Amino acid sequence: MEKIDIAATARTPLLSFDPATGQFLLEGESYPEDTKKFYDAPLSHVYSFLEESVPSKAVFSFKLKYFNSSSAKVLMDLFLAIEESASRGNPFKIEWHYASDDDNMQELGEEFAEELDKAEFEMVAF
Amino acid sequence: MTDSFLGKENEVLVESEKLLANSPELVTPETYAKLTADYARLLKNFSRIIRISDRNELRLQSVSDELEIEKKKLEGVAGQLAKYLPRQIYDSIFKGDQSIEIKTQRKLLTVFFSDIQGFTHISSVIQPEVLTHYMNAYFTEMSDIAAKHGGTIDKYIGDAMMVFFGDPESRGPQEDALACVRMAYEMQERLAQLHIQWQREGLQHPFITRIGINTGYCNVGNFGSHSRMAYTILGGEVNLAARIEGKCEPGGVLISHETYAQVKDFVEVSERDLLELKGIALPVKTYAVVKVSDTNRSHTSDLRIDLKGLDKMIVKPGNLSMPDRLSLVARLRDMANTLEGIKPHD
Repeated sequence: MEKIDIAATARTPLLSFDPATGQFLLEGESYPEDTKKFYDAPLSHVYSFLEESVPSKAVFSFKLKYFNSSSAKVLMDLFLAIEESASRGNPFKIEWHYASDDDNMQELGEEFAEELDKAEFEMVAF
Repeated sequence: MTDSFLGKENEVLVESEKLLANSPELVTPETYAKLTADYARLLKNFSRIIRISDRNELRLQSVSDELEIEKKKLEGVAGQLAKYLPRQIYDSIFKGDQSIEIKTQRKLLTVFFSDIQGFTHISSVIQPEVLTHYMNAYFTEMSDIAAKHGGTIDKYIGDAMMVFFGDPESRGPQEDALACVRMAYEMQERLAQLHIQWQREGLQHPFITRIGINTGYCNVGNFGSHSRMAYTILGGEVNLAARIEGKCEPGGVLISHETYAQVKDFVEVSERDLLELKGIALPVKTYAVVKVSDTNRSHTSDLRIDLKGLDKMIVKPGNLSMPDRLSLVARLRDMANTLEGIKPHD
């Protein structure tokens, strides 16, 4: 499984994933012209990783300033897959970073956290 | 968002429909419970996406409101800035037609210069506040007339005004020249009215202007440095317009032969002696504008000539029958021949 390193653009976030360490980062703004096309290929590797047993604690970090509805669906599916993987005993931590003056992003993180039981979810203000 | 985003949800639906259609007897509390759980998750996600969508909409609205405020601020600033630029240039820049770079081009323009006779003396005898008031009133009135005729106000230089026609928009050389002469004529008419009004207000020294107009190829565009530039015109024809203005009778409008050639069908003029002008190699033929007509008067206009050795001659062809015209032409030819020392034919 290869490392993924996609640079951010005005409409798409930085997306990096290292399967060797289980470090995942999504940072920036997410409103791609074609959300499915942007996320399908890189996330297929992440989903494969989630199917397997994770050797050490994987940390999935989200540092988003803005995302549209279709990106929200991508996130919810990803959180569900993480939760399922965590239910199988794999150690996971999700870090939800938000600007301290961004109430909207804070509330969204709190809502996503409600859905997660087995995976650890941490809110990180910056 | 495409349906493929909902691949998992769609899978659940297809499986359930298949089960109901083919083997409804296999529907058990477990399958029903799974379907209910999937439905509950779907409902939660749906509800969350609606909230996200609404929040995004609110955020967009807020950004849009901020942009609207910024836009209004910018319009206010731009409106103030517009007063320092010729209106046409301002419009061109804001439409994106005009590039902000040092670049010029040659164009056939009609150039107008005016100044107030004896302004130095006037400014020394009138209180500065009073002078400011009347100068502002004067420039406002003249600028309104220039704008009405489509002139590009290049600049105010003390009491002088420089206007040109033919850039950035041109209606053709004849229309441009005609618009300029009409503007000049209207300015003098308006000033005559203002004299009466201002004298009633107590202004003892009326503003009497000289106006000079010339038509010719000029360099037009941005001149200056990259940090500070001015959209203006340069060239010998511009200088000529300024020189002609200096020779104009106070209260009059003096035009060059090149301008006269463009407007002759619409103006009544008084032909002037050749002028020797500083910095201009050859004597210049000029015409004082007597009257401007709205319609083409080429067949009916009075031919007025004021030359050295000729007191006054006004020919009114519009009042003549064809035989009378031919007779007049023959008489004038005789006079010309006599003047050249040739005996008339019988």
